[in-house]
Amino acid sequence: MFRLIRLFNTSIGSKLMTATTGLVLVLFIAGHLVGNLLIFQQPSVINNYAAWLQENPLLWVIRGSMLFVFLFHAFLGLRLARQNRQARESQYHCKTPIEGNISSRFMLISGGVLFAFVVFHVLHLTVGVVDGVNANLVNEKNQVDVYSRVILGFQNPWISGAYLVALGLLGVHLFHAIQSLFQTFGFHHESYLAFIRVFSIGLSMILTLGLASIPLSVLFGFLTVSTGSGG
Amino acid sequence: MNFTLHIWRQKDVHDQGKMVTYSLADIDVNMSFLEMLDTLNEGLITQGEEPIAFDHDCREGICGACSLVINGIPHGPNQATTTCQLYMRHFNDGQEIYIEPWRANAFPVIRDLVVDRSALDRVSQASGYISVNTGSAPDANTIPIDKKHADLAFQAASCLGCGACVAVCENASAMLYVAAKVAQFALIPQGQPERTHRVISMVEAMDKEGFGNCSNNYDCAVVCPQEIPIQFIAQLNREFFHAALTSSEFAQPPHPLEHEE
Repeated sequence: MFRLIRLFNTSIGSKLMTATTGLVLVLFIAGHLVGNLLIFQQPSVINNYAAWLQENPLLWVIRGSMLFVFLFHAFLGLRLARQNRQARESQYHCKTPIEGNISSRFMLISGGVLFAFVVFHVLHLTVGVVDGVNANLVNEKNQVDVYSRVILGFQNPWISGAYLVALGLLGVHLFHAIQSLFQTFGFHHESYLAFIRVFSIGLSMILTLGLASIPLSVLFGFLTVSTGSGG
Repeated sequence: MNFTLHIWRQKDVHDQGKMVTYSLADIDVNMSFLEMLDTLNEGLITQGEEPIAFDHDCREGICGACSLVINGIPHGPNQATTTCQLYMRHFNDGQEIYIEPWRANAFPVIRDLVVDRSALDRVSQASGYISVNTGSAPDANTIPIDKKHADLAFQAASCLGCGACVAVCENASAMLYVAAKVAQFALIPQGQPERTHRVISMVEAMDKEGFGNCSNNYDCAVVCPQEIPIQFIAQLNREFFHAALTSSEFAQPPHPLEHEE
């Protein structure tokens, strides 16, 4: 236990913990994406999947763990940012940007917006209080009709727009996060540096574009409630 | 060549400090940057003003004493160059040049452009060394070292300790410095006995001095006059992770390793 406390109190330890919690969150997003893409199947597929999740006895254990990981990741990020700010209190009068890509300077900002977005997202599609009209939809099997609820929700361009902006920031956040994760865990060799870069860009784009495909498909009319019930 | 210089002036640690503008005319293109400052100082002394204090020693690019953030870049615009090896021909005639000290809370400004870099020394004193019994020097080449590791250790050991990595880092982090010091010993047989203690105590000493955390922006390696690569930071992370997970020392409260009398 002392080992963990001592790790938590060092700079590199904080970064290792940020990277580990971040990795868990990336895996969660990947799983969430795979589940969400079921919306492109028959309506019954995602509704059955949602019902299976709801009935799963581990649901609240997983929800609780994810909440802890998410909050801990945010806490570590904020603490690191505070320490970084305290490390230089007087600023340069002349600044010349050198190497750092834009996403690493915006980890805190993108992280903050993503935090607010996750709260919004849970209120919208899990709790169902943002657009109350669709909150209590059920299908003929008396399952919660997730299919219609998502599509009706995303037909509001303001809500879709908010999701798309947040997903854009998620992409920027992940691009820096994924390649940083390798460096923080100590993976660095010129023989696979190019792979790490391509992997970071590729994975952040797959996750972001995959999730964005749902509101975009609804906005452009590829996904409608009627196509679902017809198909 | 003529220049307009904006230079940080600060009487002492407690002074607020401010940027002061100087005009300098008839500078030879082949003057070094520090000779240009010498010329400015001669003029200031003639006028009865206080000369500008700045750090310098060998003026050959090997000691790491010179500093100066020039137009926002530590050691100026040229890569792999210390300030003393920067020449006025690298600038344009009539250019405005901003000259500031290294800025980090761990490096308090003592006067004008001179900062106190002893925080780096204290980090190295924490464990950035190997313990060797005194006596006659051991025979050369008695311990086999493979060429790749020897070369890498040499590259890490070429760190001058100038602090440019801290000065450029948006978080004023000393990770590249500590990484070079840890790697130079971790890569060679002589560094093995104290390897675990070294990385733990140097990282904790670095944190105690108030340096920031690494954001993996890698500006440090770009401005490093010795071009120390960021692979050493990955190695530091690796060494620390390994020590934190597996060493018995990390399961205890921190304490300095005492030397036996």
